[in-house]
Amino acid sequence: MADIDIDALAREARADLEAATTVADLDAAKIRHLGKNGPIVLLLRDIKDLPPEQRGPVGKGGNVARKELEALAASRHEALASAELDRRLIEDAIDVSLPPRAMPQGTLHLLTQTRRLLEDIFLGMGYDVIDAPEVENEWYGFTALNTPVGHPARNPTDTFYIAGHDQGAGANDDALILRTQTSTAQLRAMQLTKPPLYVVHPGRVYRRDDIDATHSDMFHQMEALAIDEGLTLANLKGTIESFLHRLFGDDLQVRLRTHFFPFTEPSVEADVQCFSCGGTGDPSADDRASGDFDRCRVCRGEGWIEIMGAGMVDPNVLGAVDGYDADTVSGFAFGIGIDRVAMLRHGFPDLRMLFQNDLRFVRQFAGRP
Amino acid sequence: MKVPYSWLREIVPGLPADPTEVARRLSDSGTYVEAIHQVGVADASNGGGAAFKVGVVRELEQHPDADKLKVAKVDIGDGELHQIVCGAPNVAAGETVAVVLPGGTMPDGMRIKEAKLRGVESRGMMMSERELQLSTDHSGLMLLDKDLEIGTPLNDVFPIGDHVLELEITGNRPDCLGMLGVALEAGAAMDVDLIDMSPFDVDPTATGDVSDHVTVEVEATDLCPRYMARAFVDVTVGQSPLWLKAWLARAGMRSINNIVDITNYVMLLTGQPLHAFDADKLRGSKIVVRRAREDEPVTTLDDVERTLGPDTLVIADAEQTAVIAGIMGAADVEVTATTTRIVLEAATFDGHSIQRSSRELGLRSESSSRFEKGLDPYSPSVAMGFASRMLVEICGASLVPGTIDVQSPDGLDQAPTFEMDAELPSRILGIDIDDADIQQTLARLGFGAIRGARGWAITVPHARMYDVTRPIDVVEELGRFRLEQIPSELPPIRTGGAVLTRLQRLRRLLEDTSAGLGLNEVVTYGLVGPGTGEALGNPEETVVRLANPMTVDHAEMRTALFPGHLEVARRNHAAGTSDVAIFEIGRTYYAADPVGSTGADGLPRYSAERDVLALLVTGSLGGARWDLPGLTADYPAVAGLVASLLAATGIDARFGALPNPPAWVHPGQVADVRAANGAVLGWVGAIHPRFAAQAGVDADVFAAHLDLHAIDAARTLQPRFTAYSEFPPVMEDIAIVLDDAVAGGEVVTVAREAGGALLESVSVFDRYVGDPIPAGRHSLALRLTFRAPDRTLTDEETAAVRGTIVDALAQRFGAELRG
Repeated sequence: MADIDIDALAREARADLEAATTVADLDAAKIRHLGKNGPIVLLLRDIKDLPPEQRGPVGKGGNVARKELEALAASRHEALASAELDRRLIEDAIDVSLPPRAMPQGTLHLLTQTRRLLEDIFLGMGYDVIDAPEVENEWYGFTALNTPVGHPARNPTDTFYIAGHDQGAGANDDALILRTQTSTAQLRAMQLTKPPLYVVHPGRVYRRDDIDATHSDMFHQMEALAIDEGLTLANLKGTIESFLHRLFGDDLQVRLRTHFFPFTEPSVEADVQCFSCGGTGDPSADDRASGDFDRCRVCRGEGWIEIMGAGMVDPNVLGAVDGYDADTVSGFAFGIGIDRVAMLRHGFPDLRMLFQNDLRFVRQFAGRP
Repeated sequence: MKVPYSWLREIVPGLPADPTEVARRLSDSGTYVEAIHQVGVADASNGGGAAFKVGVVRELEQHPDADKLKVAKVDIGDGELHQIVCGAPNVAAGETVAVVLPGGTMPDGMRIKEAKLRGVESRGMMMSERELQLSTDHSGLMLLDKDLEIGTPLNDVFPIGDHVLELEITGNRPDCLGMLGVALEAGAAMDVDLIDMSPFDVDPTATGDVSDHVTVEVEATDLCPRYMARAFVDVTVGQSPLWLKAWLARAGMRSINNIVDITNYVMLLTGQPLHAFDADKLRGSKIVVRRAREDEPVTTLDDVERTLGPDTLVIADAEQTAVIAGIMGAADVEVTATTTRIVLEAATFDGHSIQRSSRELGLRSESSSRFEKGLDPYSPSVAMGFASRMLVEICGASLVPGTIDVQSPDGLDQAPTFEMDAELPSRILGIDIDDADIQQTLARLGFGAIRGARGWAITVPHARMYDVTRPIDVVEELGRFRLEQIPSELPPIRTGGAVLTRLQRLRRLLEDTSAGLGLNEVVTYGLVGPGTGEALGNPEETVVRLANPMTVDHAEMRTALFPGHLEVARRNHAAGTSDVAIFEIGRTYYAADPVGSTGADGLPRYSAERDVLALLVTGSLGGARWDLPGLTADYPAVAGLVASLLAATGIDARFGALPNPPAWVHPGQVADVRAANGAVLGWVGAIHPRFAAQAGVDADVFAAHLDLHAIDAARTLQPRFTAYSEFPPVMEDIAIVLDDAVAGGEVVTVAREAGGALLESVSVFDRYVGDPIPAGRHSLALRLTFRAPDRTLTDEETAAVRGTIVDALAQRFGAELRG
């Protein structure tokens, strides 16, 4: 056997490892020198074939060299891999300003968002949310709501009647209608629950109105009803004020005006100070930008917005349901147009937009009732 | 109702000159003032009226350079003659005229200045009625009464400027369709007195008896509780005085002649319509109040020929209809310039009857809009008194002795009297009102109120007798003038808090999840076009139809939402939005069986109403990149949306072929959706291309329909914890060959059942058709995942379960294990 020059083998291997410029080159060099057929590896493997006097020095020198080379390979690997990663990251740079991938995301309709807003205000005040049918008979729709035969609403010119059930329309408790107001739910709530009763009912109503920018043959209302011992008009006023403050803003004034509804006595309409102009009637910057220089467009310059009808539940309504006695309990009720609230709060010009469902309309209110 | 404020102030002299505060208080107390209009000369009672005078034309000459102009010298009592150039055809020396001098501002805003007209100096103007906004008459100068003193301020002759309050009168207050009713309101609102107008009538001066001129026969006593008539002779028909014309014009009525104007004036004053007949034109000198005959013709004052029927009440003479009662008169018995003898009617008619006739005839008048609200039967005598005195004083008429007064055989309705508990006002209003204040408010409104030991004895005035019938109605009378004083107090709610029901929470969860999955919520009409329900396969008797639809496309209640959603897709496509992914939680309606049957809550139902979640997708479902397309809507995608939605509610959805697919779905791409327990929740699939095309949608459309109540019923809320294994799963894949008729979903179900407790899940990961699988069969690859709760499974254990599954599939479907 020739002289064994471990240093030479180690030098050659070191040179190869150091010459590698890529991780792949380095891996090839590592296999060549430190793999199972690497010269130093083979030397160490076959050390028993060496003469005894050489075994000690070769074994020791070989192991030292192999450890050094492995350490070198490891450090070179780390350096090369890191450099390569840096290079790849540079290559991977993209134009992050381009549009992102359009992951699916829909939105709730403005009416649902508004309905929840109203529901949540009343849930917080302790009112349960109830449901009620839309097809009713004249008893629920009119008679029990103290709306006598001959009242203009109680007539096929104003109210939709159901075919086959319209005999005696206007004067027949059994004739069937599409309800014209959510007040029908008052009676059903009273029939199901004895006082104290605090409920709201959002729902659909139908009227034979010509459809235009502010009228529809179908729209949405929310009814509120409270019946308990000792409820007064002061409680109605406080409740309306509290509700409207949460809906439109805490600093706005609320005023009640006397009105007439068959099912409440006394009856009032509630106005809220305009949330846009704060009651001054002056145009906002937006109004001016849209060409309205004279007056606020939300309240038409009046400073007040008529927002809902209300009143103390008429004794005749209480008397329509067993278990309710006008001598021991009293109550109040009010109704508010959900579509109208949405229109006021968001300023779109035409009620029909709510039901046309142009997605450009539906999507623009996403998450912001 | 238009109220000239100068008229209101004449009845309620304590009202301030500026109507703003009056309007505010009227609005608060129930007489809503929609607007305040300035009419005529602005600020007429102060500086604005100073330039308007009564003058006399002293001299008149032809204008030297203009054929149509004259040059007048006008005396206005200030010691000089004012030269005014005038073009009116009726200008003449000696006439008394209305003059405005330089410095005055006309009602239309024009400022009068000294000027030269065709070279001739002119200092002021003489005016027509139109220029003073009295009427539309601009044919010539307004000629004034020659007795007027020269130089009198024109505003002292009649109110040349005014405010008109436009009032919204609610249906319960026909009394406020008259000035007297409004005056009571204003007096109560401002706490001021009215002038006394109670004894307003005149004594007869003519000879004979009313029966010499007319007899009255009321056949339809049910529709005419009271009919009063008087006769007048020596009537001079002519123009009305200016003050009368001014107030009529401002109240929105046209001046006709002094007789008609007086009836209109008294109607505006009292709310009680009157009618004047030319007595010489009444055939048979007879008035018959009866139902119209079948197809009875009449030509009304508006020159329209109409045909009446027995539902309509008429006032006829011996031969034919003279007036459609309470609505409009006929042309041939009207008062004209030559009339000298009149019969004046003041009557009460049934409000509903007038309302119905008015609606059927499409004819509304100032008169019908009052009668239809139901007037009290005592107003006719009040109105008769006012009108009689005015006819005598203004038209020179002589009242014939005797008043015809035919009353219902049942007697006239009586104004209510009742007791009101002394505690009731504070119990309802939440404020205490002094007895004296209660008395004061009610007295101002014309009520009698006497305090007894326990309460109040209330007497209701006739004008309010149908509106105020109960103690609670009196409470409103007290409350409505005190709304500002009522404090705001939240009720002490003692129900223990509120929470949404499980169905309401489910609805919100589904709404939010749908939106999160990329679906946009829509809200569509509940009413759909005729025949929609039947076209969707519903038997005719189950569809809820309208008896009186308004528009052709809103004729019945919907039974499904997707037709409306197709319309949404069509509309959005037309607007250039091709990707439509929408949902709605809305109601469907079926006829109740039977009507009035009891719902789940024990109350009657008049239709079967069910809330459903419907979704519809076409085009891309999202996931697009600026350089790569997104996920295109197809059956697996829409079924995936349904599965995700239901997974969000805790339901593991199963899809199975629909046995008899309806005509409006793609027969090969529709499934029923079930919960794990087999309960049907709805369907999902492709809309038939023909059906979509009929709806105007030219694209592949996919839809789903899920019953909200079924979803709710399929869920167990508040599930108990289920432990999961700490040991690793073992996965094994098998491939089986099946007939093409076998549904993959059923294979999975059978495998799942056969696998027992150790089988954790089954999923399909490949379906292969072609060589070497024989025609009519296919290969289905399943991944079986095994896991035990307490140990790592051995190969022997999993092999045994796998064998059971393969055997079950072989037995059930004839499946053969491949390879």
